[in-house]
Amino acid sequence: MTISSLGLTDIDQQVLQVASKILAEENCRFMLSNNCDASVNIVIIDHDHLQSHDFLTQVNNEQITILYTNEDIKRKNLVALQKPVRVNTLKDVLLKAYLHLRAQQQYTNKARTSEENAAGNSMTSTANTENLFHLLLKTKQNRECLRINYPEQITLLINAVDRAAATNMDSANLHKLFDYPLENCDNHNISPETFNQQDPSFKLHTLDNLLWLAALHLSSGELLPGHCTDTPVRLKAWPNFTRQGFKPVYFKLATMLARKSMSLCELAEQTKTSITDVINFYNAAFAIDLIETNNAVSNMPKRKTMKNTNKSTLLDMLAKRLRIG
Amino acid sequence: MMELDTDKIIFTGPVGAGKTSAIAAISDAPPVSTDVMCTGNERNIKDTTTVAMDYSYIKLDDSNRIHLFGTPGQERFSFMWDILTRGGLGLVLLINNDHPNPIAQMDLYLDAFSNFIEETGVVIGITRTGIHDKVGIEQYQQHLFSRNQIYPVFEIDGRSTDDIKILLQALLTVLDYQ
Repeated sequence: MTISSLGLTDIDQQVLQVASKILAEENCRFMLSNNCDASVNIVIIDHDHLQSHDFLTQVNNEQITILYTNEDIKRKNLVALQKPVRVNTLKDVLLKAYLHLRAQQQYTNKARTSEENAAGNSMTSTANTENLFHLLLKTKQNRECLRINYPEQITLLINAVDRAAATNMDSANLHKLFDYPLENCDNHNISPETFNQQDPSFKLHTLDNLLWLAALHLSSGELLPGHCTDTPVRLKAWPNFTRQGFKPVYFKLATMLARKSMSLCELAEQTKTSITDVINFYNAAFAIDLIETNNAVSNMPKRKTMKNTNKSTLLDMLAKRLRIG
Repeated sequence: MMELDTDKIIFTGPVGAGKTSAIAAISDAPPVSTDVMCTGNERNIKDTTTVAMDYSYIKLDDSNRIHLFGTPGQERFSFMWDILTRGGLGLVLLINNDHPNPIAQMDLYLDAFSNFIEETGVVIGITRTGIHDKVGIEQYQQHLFSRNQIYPVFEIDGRSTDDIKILLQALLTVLDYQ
């Protein structure tokens, strides 16, 4: 993603650089460009600059404009920020812009793929862009049964009707199934009866456990297509961490999202977690039907107690003692 | 005499859910148990049952301990539940999935300890689970959702230190984010 600026003061330029650096640490990388034209994704303009008014008339619909102004200006794809603009304010706006633009790009890519397939392109399904997580999720949503043949006679069987999976890959090396490029595997639909006739040496897993692992392993901070980081969501249930694997930060995410609806951006902000971790967690929770987007579902009742500092210290010591958290 | 209103985590749940084993898995000293031989129907589940409390502790440093109390499982000792939870930090509820109606058991304990849970927090561990269970983890999750109580609920082996640590990690996070 590229950012350019017009008319910013030296201090504003420094604020921009600091905000970009913080976001880079969360895998949201921007390239600061000297070209202030239609080719950049985001333009930051000081409204008091002489050329700003002319430039605003040239901005195209696919660009996001961040305008430093004390006037009340509303326009599509334009965010007005009151001067002086602080690092945290700019960082939050840039993060939202980044996610919005990335979602747009994913949507455009998916639409282009569908068009190419409809035109009779020889590419089968979305083999070049799809990974095992996407394939498993699609299989689950379509309630299909699938056989995936990997090299070296490794096989993965999926039964979305009974929500089961079976494989002759040993459990300790299950992650290798996720790493292998799908385009080098042969996969085809099977019947539930064929699934049940699997070799006795195959190990059974629940489909949800496999989906959870695949999502965490393969999401890499990319939100599922069609999902938005601004939509309020809530957990319907805690993931079964003892059997499904976790990172310590997921406990915070689950605590907040189980308690009340919020967007993924808000969740990242309130828990001070990277958006990558939030998205990976969200994708995994969504894949195993733990996400609720119905805003009619009421939040959990507010809790009675105030935080006790002595108890907090004690709990921190317990976490360290058990080497958790 | 030991003070009961101290920094403590309470383990509760029906007979045979694994409270004593869970405390033993995580504590720094063998639990002190007040067990007697089971009579009546509980004899089908186990030989002994706790009549007052289990007790052990986790040592934090030279002067601080977190005390671990296990409540008696039989409902006729439920008068001990209020006494034991007084001043407690949080609740670990263990449910035996082999019980004929484990979800009703979970309801019973969530209701019995509702005031304490509201003031602190709870995590739920489901013991004795397997692939061919009549009741799976999803049913517990759906039931908690229907009560609008989306508490951490995990399948655990009550003897597994790692599983009990994960339960406690969830409890600590819930308490931290009150």
